[in-house]
Amino acid sequence: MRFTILAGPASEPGDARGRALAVVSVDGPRDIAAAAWAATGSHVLLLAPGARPVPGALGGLSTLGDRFGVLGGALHAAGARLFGWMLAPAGCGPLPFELAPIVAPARDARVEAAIRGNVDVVAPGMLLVDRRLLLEPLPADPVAAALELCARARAAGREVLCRPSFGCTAPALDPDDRGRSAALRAIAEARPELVGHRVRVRVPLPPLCVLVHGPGAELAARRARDLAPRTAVRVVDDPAAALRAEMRMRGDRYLLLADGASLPDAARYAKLVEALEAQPYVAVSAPDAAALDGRCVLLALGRFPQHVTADGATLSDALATLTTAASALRRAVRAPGYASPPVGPAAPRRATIVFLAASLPEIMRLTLDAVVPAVRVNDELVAVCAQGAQTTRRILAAYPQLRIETDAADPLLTDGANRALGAAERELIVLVADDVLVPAAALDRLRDAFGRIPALGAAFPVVPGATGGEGVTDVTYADLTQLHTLAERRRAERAHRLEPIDSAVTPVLAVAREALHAVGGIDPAFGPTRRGIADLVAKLRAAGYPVVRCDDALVHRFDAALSHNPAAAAGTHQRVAAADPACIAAGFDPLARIPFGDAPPTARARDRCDRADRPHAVAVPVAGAAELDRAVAFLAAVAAVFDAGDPIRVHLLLDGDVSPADAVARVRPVLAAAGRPLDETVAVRIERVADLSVWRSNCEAGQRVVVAAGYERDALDGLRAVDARALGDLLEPALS
Amino acid sequence: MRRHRTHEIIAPWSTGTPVLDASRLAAVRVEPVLRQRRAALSLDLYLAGDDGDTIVPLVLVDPAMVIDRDRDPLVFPFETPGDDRFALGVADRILPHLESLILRGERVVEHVLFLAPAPRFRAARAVGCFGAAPLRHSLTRLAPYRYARRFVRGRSVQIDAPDAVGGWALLRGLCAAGVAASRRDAAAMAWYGDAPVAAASAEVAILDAGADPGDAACVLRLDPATDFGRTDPSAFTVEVVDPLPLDVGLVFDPAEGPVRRWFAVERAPEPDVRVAPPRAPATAGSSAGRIAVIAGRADGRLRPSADTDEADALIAALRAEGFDAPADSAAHELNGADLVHVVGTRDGRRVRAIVEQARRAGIPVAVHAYDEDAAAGGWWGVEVTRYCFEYGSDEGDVATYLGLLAKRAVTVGEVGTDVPYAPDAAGVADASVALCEASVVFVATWDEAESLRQRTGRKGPIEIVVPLAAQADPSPIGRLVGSDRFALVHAPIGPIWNQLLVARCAADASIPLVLTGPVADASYLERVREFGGAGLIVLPGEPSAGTAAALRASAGVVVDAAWVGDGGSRLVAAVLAGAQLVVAGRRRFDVPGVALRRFDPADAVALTRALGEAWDEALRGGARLPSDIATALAPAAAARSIVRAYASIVAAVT
Repeated sequence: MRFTILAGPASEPGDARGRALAVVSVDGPRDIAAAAWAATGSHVLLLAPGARPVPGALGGLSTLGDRFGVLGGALHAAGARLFGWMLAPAGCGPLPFELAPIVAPARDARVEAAIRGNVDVVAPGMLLVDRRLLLEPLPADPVAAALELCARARAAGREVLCRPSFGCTAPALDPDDRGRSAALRAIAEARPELVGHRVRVRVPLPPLCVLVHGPGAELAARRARDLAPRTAVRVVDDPAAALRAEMRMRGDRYLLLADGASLPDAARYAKLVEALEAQPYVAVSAPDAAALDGRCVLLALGRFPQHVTADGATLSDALATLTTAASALRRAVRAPGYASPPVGPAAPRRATIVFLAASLPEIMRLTLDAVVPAVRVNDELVAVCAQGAQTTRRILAAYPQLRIETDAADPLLTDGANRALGAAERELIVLVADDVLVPAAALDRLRDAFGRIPALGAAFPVVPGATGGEGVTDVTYADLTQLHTLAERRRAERAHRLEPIDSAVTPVLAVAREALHAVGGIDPAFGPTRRGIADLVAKLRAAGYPVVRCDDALVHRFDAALSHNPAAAAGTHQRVAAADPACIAAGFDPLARIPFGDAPPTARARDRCDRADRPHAVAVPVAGAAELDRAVAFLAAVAAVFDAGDPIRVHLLLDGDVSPADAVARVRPVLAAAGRPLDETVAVRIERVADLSVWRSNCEAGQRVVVAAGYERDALDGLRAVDARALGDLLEPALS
Repeated sequence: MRRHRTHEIIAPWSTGTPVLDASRLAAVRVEPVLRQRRAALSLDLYLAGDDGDTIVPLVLVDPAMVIDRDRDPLVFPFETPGDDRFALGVADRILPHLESLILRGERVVEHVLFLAPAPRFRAARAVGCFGAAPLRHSLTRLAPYRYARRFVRGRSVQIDAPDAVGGWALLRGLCAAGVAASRRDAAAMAWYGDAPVAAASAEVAILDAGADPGDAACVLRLDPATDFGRTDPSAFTVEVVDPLPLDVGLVFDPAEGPVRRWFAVERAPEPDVRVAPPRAPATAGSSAGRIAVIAGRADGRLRPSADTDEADALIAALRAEGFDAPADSAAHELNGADLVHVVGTRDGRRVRAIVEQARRAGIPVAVHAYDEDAAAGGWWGVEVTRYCFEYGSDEGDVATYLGLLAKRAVTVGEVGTDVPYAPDAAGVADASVALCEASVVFVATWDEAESLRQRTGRKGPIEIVVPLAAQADPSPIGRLVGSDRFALVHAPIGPIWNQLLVARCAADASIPLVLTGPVADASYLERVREFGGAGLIVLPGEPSAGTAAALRASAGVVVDAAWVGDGGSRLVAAVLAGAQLVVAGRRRFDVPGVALRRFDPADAVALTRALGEAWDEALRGGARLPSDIATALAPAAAARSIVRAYASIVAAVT
């Protein structure tokens, strides 16, 4: 292919000279137009100021064919390559589109395959252009000029192509781009066809599942396989049931429901995807409102929270349920002709407040006194405490508005907490540990967040020093009086400010009942510890519920050494991994739901299939006095369930400042209380351990090692955690 | 209530008792706009009262926040009356409409949501009033009045021109303005308020074509029927760019877009220009030789700054000494030079290449270092400061982020303060090598010399010289900036020079600010206009030497807040021009006998305080510059030191 070169100032055609019919120096739009008029040949090579082709850029031009109007490539500048722009729709802007740059690092070759082909707007630098497209002057701004040129090409029925190898080096685009916005507006006003025209760069789309139903489904299913790269296609007889089955586990994926006659072709499917991807809050798209009855609907499953189900006897009913739910959750349904049903303001949510009483009585009384005034009309207040905690129970009994639940065995109160959570009757469930002081109105702020975000899963207050997303570091106060003052000020200054968070670890949160019921309660393996709360948050997010921090609600969590709160003490030794985006994107598996009642969770039961005949070693690491207190309670539970004849040995591992003598002094009475001679009680070994990982490796050789729930350590990471309630499972037959 | 302090045009106003009852909201004008180059919505609220109305223009909305309400979606102008209850009540009435608009996904066009009968709103919309009509139209109408702000402060103003009542509303807080009786349009008066009738004469006249200005000292002529440039060469024409709100709002720079209208400044009094100390006579030297003076950055001529001024001053001084010093020596034109002098080390790679090329050719090299160890916080500030404004979607956020900035607690990506940071393009290591290998290095202060030796390990000579200042006769500037004192920043407009923080602080302190210089980053300029308040004057493009001299001689305060400095040339010029200096603490600049107000360029509070003190001093007249200091600062004196250093290194080479 030969062409005329129109060379901007300081550009250098390099290898291109060999193909040049002529080389003409140009400076500005009028020069370019004049040179295009004068040029011979069908194409011109346009070199921007300072541009120079990279070696080999001009190879293979003969394979382009004659359909293209503009060929662009990569503009190499400042360590990056610019390939052009996508015209993304901008519904709320004064321009009908916005230019989204397509950029890659200089040495990243992987992107090229995805970029090669049609593109909305080529990058300026070096362009091979049908000469006729340049006969009228282009805008002076290089980006506007590229946009106009590509628009002209399309208007003339020509292709606009990007070939990454067709690259040049050139100065980076000047940050002094004054006038660009005005130039783009002028183009948009002159070319209304630019609205809605968009060729997406082929970024990986979520996996697609296609359910085809009705007459002609078999044939259509074959076509459906080519709609997207990662597509699973099924022909279904009962599409409503199939839809419900697909929605059991959602995650970041698309579901296309179509009857055999209405299955979209690739272009129509691309339009549906485009509508869905236009904004993160679009949940449903369809070619038109009528197609929403199941003829052709594309759903973004991850945008429906787990509790929303496609209920209905027919497919049409099921989809109507979904679209109605979408509107209520402020999710968009994009189907021409569809009008969302009016949604009234959200009713205020009543709350069930579950108060976990496990700290020292003085602390507990202080925090409970703060919670009680936060109870509103029609709220319910439940306190959970250990069955044997007589002092705590006496204190709780002094509050007539409070219902008491007890936990028979677990010092972390997991079982009691889950029962209270499961029995909660109000729309909002607030979990508050008694080592957290909740200043006035903080709970109202949490409650308020649910009124503004209908799909909200959980809301945390700000917890100074916490390690999760609810934690902040820039808040300091000397005493509780200052805390209250600060909380008051924060409430005014940061009113209604929510911060979406990825993780949280503090047991003080408000959670939507429907969300909690979808994911289940607190995992007994962790209890309401840092890890247990982080696990709950991860599940909520995977199930499609946002989790936020309310910046206008400030609380204080007492130090574990002061409160003697077992969950807090357990948490200090836990390692909480960062939330895994892949797990969140995969969606929530209902098998992982933690039942609120006594039935063991199915998934966990399945995990226990690997039992063997080897004896069990139950590790109970004890670092301080608070842990020793909890360990004693745990040992009491063990001693009640097992005796010397069982293949169980409890290892009290002293890895802190507790002396063996102190431990023995506390343990012996507990074992004796089981009513058996000491040599018939469950075997307990008390040992000082400097390095838990060494102990673990020695122990694992001959025994099956588990760790007492709430006593996690980094060195014991990966071991199954057993809470007091589940001790019996250790020797139960395996479930399949 | 979330509030913003951006895009200040006319603050919310009431024509009667303020209406703070959301149920009285009668009309909401919705307009899609660009804010920080992203789509946003601008709302004008009209609340109808019994004895007058309340108008709250420019309530900003991020469309995504209407759906995901992790903040209150409505951000009100800072001066909006009312409290949280009012804001929530307004939101309750508006958000369902916005929500359905956004969820539908159709393109949003400018429209009005009527919630109650609003005849006064309709009438105001029909005549293009701000707050009722599309911004593109109302801003164009108000543009001449915005320009007139620089002339009217504390003066009597007579308005007899189109949109007179709107102009009065825009200027009413600044001056005693009145409107010609024939211009008191009923719809506009009902909208903006009861504009008084203008007196027969005034100090400032804003007139339509043909009206008689009388003896007004300042005259603006709107929409003249004739082309000023041809019929009246003395007229100064100002072009109004077609707005693309909000990023391109009230702008008078034709580079920003097509010109929508124009007006003329027929008369404007000149500011009180301080008399500069007499220039030291340039002694004709008898030196000989060819010296290539080369800028330390490639865009030194395209975007001149203080380093460019110093290079020019050096060339002039060398010529006066008898040297052959061509202007605009290029890096590849060293052959034939007897000595190479590089001014600045901003582009380390370029400077190192020049130094090494010169050494290979056996040519001695002198370097003006401008060394501030920019990797130790300077480049960090360049990177992060603008984000403190851009991430903050309301005034509370901005204040919080600026607080963090002052504590150096802002990190963007890998750019933090815990480890030195400089962008690749700065070539910091190369600059150090160049400074180490140069034959002689010139610095401005002893501290700079010490720090440079420690950091680069340089053993060779380092000479301390006063920066060379450009000198020129002042040109008239009254029509550009008015006749009142102002604070001045003269530098390229971009993140390096930190004008955004200066503009914010000047607005905080209600100090009129003039920014001038070539535009290095247009989006940054948009932010400066966004946060700079109504008193900001931007003169984009490098001013002529005469204009720059006049600006310095008229400015009360000259500010250098740059994160990475370009040398002290313009500061010396400002000292000689008698301005008060407010200088970033990082700057290696010191003039014995001259009081500088230093501040941390990350600390908005410190900058505001320094600006206020300097402004106060400037208004009180300041102290005259002692003649011995003026003599010491004259370029000829600095040039002699430089030539002596040349002599020593040439002798060493030969």
